[in-house]
Amino acid sequence: MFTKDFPLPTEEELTVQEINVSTPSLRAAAFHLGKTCEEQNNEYMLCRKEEKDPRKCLDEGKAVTACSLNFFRKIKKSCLEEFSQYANCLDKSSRDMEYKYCRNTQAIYDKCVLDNLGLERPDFGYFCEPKIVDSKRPKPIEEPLSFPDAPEPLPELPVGGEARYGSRKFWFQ
Amino acid sequence: MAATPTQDLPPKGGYAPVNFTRIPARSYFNGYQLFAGFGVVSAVACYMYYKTYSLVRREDIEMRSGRLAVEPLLLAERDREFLKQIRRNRDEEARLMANVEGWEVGTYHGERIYKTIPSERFIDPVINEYFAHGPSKAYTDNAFFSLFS
Repeated sequence: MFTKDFPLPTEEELTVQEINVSTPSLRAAAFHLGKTCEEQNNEYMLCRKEEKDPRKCLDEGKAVTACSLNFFRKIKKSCLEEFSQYANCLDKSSRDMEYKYCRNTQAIYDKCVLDNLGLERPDFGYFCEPKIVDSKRPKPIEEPLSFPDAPEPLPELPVGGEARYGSRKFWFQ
Repeated sequence: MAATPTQDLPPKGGYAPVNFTRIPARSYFNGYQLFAGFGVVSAVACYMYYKTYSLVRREDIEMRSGRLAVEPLLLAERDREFLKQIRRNRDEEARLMANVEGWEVGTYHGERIYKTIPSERFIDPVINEYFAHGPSKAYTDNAFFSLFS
């Protein structure tokens, strides 16, 4: 269905500076990153869910990447040592990079981020909660499915009115 | 005169007396005490299990929070690469079917694939179509990911 006339974005539109950071670093920065870039993230996910079209959400996606890049730049300027220690600990402590084995390094890193960037680490279940997003983009209208061949729906009550002596069925009338 | 044959006779004085009285095993607890002990151990274990399970669930939620916080970033990157790849696929198909008569890129010999929807709507390509032009290893590696996640 991707014909010649189908509008696909060009390579230039899609090429943007990407995050060049590995999984342990992402895992280490996850909570603070999510809190900093919360609006952009929420907007992007809402757009993606509603429009169901990746071409329409390119701007929001670029905003997400830009916000995350800014966050990592700030971390690199101020807290690089603690951050890399924490990421290293997460990487080498367990198979799944679980947080529970690295509480000491996490405390040091949290304190550093609180002092330098003023960010508090959100609650442990913060990103599992559903978020209500109020965005300026209007909601796309979905056309309801129309079935021109469908038969008329049955009436609620029987045609002759309620039965006078109840129904023959004993308890499930 | 024949020698007396040897016989297997009881010893002199007869056998020692046989003790045939019952000696039941020494019981430390009776039945009620055993049930009570089972109840107490179960209660303590239940409490410890509840505490540990709460902790395990909290850790699970924390892990999931960490993953969900990073998800939009990864999805944005993936969407961009996805759109780039679709463009590459389309160009490759145009190159491949350049000499076939009646073939238009994105259609089946000129016939639209999705007939009842407007043509601007974006439908995810089928996995076979997405990986058609590359090595089959890419398809086998990604089929599980595409179909079951």
